[in-house]
Amino acid sequence: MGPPNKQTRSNGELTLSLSRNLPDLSTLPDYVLIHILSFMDPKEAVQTCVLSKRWRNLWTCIPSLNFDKSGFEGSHAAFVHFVTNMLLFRGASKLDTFRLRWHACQKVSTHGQENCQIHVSNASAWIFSALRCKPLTISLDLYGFANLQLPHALFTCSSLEHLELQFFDSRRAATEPSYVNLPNLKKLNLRCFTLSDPVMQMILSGCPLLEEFCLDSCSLNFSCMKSDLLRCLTIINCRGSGLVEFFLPNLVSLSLKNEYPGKTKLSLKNTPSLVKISSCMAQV
Amino acid sequence: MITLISSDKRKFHVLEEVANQSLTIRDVIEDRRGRRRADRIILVTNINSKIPEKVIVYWLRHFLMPEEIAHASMSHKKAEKLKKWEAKFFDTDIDTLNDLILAADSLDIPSLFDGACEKVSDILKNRSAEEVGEISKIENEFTHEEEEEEIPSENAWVWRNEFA
Repeated sequence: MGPPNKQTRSNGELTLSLSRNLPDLSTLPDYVLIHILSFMDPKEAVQTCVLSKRWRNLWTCIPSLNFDKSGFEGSHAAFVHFVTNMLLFRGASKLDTFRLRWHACQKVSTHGQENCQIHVSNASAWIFSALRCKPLTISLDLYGFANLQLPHALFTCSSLEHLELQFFDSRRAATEPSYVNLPNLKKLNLRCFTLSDPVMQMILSGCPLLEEFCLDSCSLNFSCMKSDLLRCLTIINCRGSGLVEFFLPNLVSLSLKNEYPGKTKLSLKNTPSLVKISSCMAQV
Repeated sequence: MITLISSDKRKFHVLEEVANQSLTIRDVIEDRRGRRRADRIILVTNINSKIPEKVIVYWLRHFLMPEEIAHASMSHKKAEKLKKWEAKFFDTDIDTLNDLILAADSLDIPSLFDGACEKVSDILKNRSAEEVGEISKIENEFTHEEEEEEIPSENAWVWRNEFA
């Protein structure tokens, strides 16, 4: 929001002046119209360019992009065409949030259905161009793409405060980072990841400000998790092979949820600050 | 007690705790803690009494349901109820929404600002440019060349749906 046009009088009264001459949307300042556009589906937002001279380029300033194939009318090729163009035409305008939700079609060879695997390289190009705008939040939900390569820059983006990753593919290793350096990351959500000791170690040492960590449907193949700053930990439907020890001295909130009984044993060490535990386990 | 005065000189008395939902008012209260009651009058000019009334109704509904509860541990049933109430609250004409947005912006009430903006975006969705122009009184001001050639060719990618 912009600064309110307020004036304080000498007698101590505060006057809020709402400038308003004509009862229509044209009186709203640009940042309000851009905020209105950010609630629209990206395609509808771009289509407002035909409304008037003022609206012609307003859509290029939308700071929050949410591309969701499931809500997009058209083929995978049309989706690729649209997202690529929108990112290209908006250029380097301020971008706070970039969300991409794109699930590959299941049966590749079935007659009449397009092969969406050929489009997967576009996803990394989009993520790369989003990263150039120094976003605060990135959320990726990509399902069923065999050869997905995430840009290296995703794991070294200094502006990122919140990262949400959800992948599910047959070659999961390709999506695992080789190096992590996210100096401002506060919140990390991982879904369908395999976490070994080296990977966990790399994430925790690469995200020195991490406060909230959510693991959903992950394989807990690590034996130990150590962090001095972590305040909230959520573990949902994760499977593991053995004992996992947690050394989290500043943990305030722990939430465990497991719908399937498993053999994982979780052990909490030294958590004097813990005040809130919620647990819903089929078998603890 | 905080007093809001609208352009038609109507006065609205609101409890500080309720008016605190406006970050602008909260700052004013903080700045002037301990001063005379007369200091806590806020004039909302250029706007008729309909808007302060609506803002106060919104405040009262949310005062009974603080933000923290609304997000974290509010029961599903209560959340649904609040959602229904908000849908009804924002179900109004575009001029009122326009004023609510300006008021929420000046008074710095983020949830009211977001709610009203979202409703306007809902109204504009799935309509032709002519319909939107009609509803929101936007005049397009385009020259003949722009309307016939420039804009369609510049933005052809948005409307392209057929792929071989």
